[in-house]
Amino acid sequence: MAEQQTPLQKMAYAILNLDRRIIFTLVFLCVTAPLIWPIGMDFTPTKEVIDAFDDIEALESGSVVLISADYGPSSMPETHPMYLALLHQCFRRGLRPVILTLVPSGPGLANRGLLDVLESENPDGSLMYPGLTEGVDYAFLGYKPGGTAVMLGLGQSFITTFPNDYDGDATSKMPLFREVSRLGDCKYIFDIASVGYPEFWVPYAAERENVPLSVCCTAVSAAQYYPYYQAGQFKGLVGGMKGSAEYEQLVGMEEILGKIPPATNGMDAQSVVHILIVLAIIVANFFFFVSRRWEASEGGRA
Amino acid sequence: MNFIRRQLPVVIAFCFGVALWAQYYIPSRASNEALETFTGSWAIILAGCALILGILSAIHHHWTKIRLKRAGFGYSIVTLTCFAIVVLVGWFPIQWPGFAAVTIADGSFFDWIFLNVFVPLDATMFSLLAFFIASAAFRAFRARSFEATALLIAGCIVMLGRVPLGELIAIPGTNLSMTSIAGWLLNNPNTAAYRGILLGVILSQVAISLRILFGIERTYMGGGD
Repeated sequence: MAEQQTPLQKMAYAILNLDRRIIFTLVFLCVTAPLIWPIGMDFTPTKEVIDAFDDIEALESGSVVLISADYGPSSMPETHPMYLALLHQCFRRGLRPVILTLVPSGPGLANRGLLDVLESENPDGSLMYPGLTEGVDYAFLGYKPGGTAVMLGLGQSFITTFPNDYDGDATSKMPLFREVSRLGDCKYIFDIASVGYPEFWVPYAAERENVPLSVCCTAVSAAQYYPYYQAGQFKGLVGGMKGSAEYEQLVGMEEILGKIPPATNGMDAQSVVHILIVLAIIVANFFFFVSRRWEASEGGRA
Repeated sequence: MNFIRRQLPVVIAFCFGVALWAQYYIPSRASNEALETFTGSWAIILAGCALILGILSAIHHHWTKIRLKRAGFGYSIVTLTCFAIVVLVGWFPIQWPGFAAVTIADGSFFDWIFLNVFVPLDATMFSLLAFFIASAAFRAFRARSFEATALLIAGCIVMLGRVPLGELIAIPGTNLSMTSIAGWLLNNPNTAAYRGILLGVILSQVAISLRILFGIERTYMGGGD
């Protein structure tokens, strides 16, 4: 039977049985090439992202925004740029972020991100946000196990739920928490999550305390959160690296950083890899159906 | 003994379940204080204990594997060694040579381990997914039936629509681009289907909660009935 195959049939069967290492190599090239030689594709922010951005922009200066950084290094390229952009937006607008995390791998990244933003410099070398004091203008509470119990606890009191911040300083001595004692005193909640916490923030915090909530999640989770967004339970929805790139564009991260921001930088690579996968699906299906037809006609002849 | 193993957990689950359910509908100060006591201390302590239990269970699993020299016990040695190092540098306030800060503060040895070991390893594990998804899509994503074809077409549209390139792929003479079609798919068929799933999940959660409260569902105790 192998001798009877035409060159087209040989090619079809070769493609259908393609060594996966070739696919891996193609993916590798599609990711690295655009990162080395950026294409710089333009994109327009979507309504879901604009809604989240506008809500934060509309807050009065001095308002406290609770940021729950519920992500670890595995989803860092999708969520961390959003966290940085949000912090820049908060400090630029004079908002006071209170940051915590409900995942054990979260504090290291969230703390590093906060320090990076606090250490940001203007082109002339001066600090971008001078005079900010921990416990007055912002707070980083770190990690606490318990998930929904922590959310409920925050509804009662920041100080009892987090007696100390990430550095071990007593929250009871911080002016910020004397003024804003519980979650209900915050003006906004922003959950940046790679895990399933956003849907718990709705009943256990946002609706219970009547505080608006927006969510940034991984692209794979975004589809499941559209019902919450449409129902108004999420005021904004920032999905995946594309959503983060859109938020970066709205905040003006390129001007702030003086270079292409991380999520925007990843857009070219993501575009090329998505094209590769779509092409792979089309090619594989084409040869799959052609081969099935050949096999059927050969079976008929036999 | 039988009472402690079989009836007491059901009584505790019933009392706490009913109390927390009732609390939600009673907006009084005493009710809120009760919730504060529960969430501010009990629930968080319980969650902390669960974390400790998880750690002890993992240690026991790997230690047993090493002791019995089961296949792959070398990985368990690496796991326990790394665990011990991270606990040592993260828990005890030691000034490690070459590091400015102690314990877990910025610039500490723990911080260095997190940023230079854990972050790249965790990111690498997750990024491998892209390679396997591409390979799986090529091998397994076949339009064998109407449902599979619909899923395949929707998947391709959303994949192209959720990247900047999608804005450039437009239907001539219309305002429709891959991005707008992907947005429609996510906002309409996807949301409708997921809303149905959500309602089903939540109704079954209510049913399961009632079964647990009334002691019908006892699998959480680890036994058959």
